[in-house]
Amino acid sequence: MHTLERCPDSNIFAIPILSKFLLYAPMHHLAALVDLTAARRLRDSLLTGTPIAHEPLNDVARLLASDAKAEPVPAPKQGDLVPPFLGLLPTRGCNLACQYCGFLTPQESWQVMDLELARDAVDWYMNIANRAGLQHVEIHYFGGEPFCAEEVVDLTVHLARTRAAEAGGTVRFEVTTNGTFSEKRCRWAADHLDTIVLSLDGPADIHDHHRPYPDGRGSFETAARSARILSEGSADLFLRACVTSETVDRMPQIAAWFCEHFRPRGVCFEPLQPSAPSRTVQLEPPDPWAFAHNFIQATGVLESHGVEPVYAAADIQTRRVTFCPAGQDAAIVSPDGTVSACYLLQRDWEARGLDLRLGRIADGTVQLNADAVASARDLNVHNKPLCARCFCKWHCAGGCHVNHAPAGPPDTYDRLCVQTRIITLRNVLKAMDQQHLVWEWLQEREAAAQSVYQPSDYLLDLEEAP
Amino acid sequence: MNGRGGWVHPIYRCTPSIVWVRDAGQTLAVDEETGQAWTLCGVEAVVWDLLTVGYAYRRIVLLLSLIFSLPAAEAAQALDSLLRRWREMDLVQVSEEADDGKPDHQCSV
Repeated sequence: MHTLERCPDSNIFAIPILSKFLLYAPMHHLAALVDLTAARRLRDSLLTGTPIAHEPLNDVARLLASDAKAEPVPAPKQGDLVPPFLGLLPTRGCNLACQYCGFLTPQESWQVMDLELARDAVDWYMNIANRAGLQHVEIHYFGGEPFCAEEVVDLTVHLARTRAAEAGGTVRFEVTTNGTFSEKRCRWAADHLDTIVLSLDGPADIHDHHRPYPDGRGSFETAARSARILSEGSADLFLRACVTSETVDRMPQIAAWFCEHFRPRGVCFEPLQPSAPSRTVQLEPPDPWAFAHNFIQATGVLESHGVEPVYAAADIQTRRVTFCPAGQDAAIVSPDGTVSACYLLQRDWEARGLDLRLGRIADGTVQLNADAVASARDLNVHNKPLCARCFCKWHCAGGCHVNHAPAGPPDTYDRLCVQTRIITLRNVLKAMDQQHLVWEWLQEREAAAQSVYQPSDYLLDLEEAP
Repeated sequence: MNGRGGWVHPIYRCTPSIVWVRDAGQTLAVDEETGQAWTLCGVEAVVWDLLTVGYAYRRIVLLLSLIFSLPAAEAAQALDSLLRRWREMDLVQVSEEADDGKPDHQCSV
């Protein structure tokens, strides 16, 4: 296998697809299907600088050899902290008791953010944005359930809008919610917010099983009512469905049901993230092959209705060094005033040996720890050995730093890697109008496994490919 | 004071015949019976919004003081003046009821 020293351009990949190779150079915005001979000629030309006699192939080699024609490799953030968005956790409390929820905390710890703290957080963020000359800022609400502390939401929406108007800018609001709030509040959200991510796991039998109230009643009726109201509003509605081993084969059906009953802008399918509660009720994550297969089928259903399928880790339009807020300088403010780089619970970071606290807001003062900011920026794909030779690395950037943090070398791809590699391959082939190959490839399970588990996707490592 | 030792404040409600829509940072309110229309901007739009999602007087004062960096007394004065005007315009109606200081539909956590 080539070392990075021998392989200065590590961003040209070759993935076997049946009898061909998918040549993929995300920084050059180039994808092509070539045979083994052509792939080897390209590799040799890149290694030696020797032209290729075959003119079209030589054009590709010249393009790939030219740094000038490539997008720069994404770099970690540097300089002053300028959050791309402010994350607010109005409360960790929630009015549901979802079977798989990893955010469950004891009720006595369901602190609601103090209004003065919420004001200070918004003022701090808006001041940074003004100093940085940002015209557009974003505030994201997460929980618990943000609307269980709706006064914090109301205050911060109006405050940020007022501050942004004073500065001649605009502010976008995004909320992730369970949708079990009053009809009045639902109509408010539909008109005042810009993006609403609504958790809806599917029809009543699935949703009620996964997402009951604490007294055991299902929450489907209210969540579906909210989805209908939000379908009529000006906010972009994204439906987010958690998929388990029991529901994975119903993904295409769920997608069709969503499109028939609501008008979402997008539908996001997320595999179950195992947690202590999910283990207790024996809810399991889906098999990654089944998830990818059904996601691709569901994608066809969604696209036929003009609905955007979302599996963010396989977004080939994006080139990034980190998948989540951590590492991109986002500032997440908790009800107790802690400013952190991550939405997840502190106990979950700590279980991974991470400390993602960036600082604290207290008594109107914001104190950030420069070392903590630098540490959060180190959480990027450049520092993930598993990702080093994977063709997906600039799109998924290794995924969540807390929930997906395998430290192993290439070829130890886990569940999330497998489904991400399959869906990313599908997205690249679709962009080339070669989507039919996806199904042929997936049906040849042995060949597909060879591609998915390929230890290095580097074109320059092709010699070791069978 | 009310019987439970809390302060009694009027509770304001939007007049039933008024419908409204929010657009580009302002609120357009229309009386469906008379056809009269009002455009609410800035603090007016904020108060209208807080009122129509169900906040009681004291919470609106608190939120206004935080949003516009006003002392509470000044926020209350501004709110009183606005509500008086809206009552005269029949945009809002009032009922004297105890104010527990919370939105009428707030989830409990």
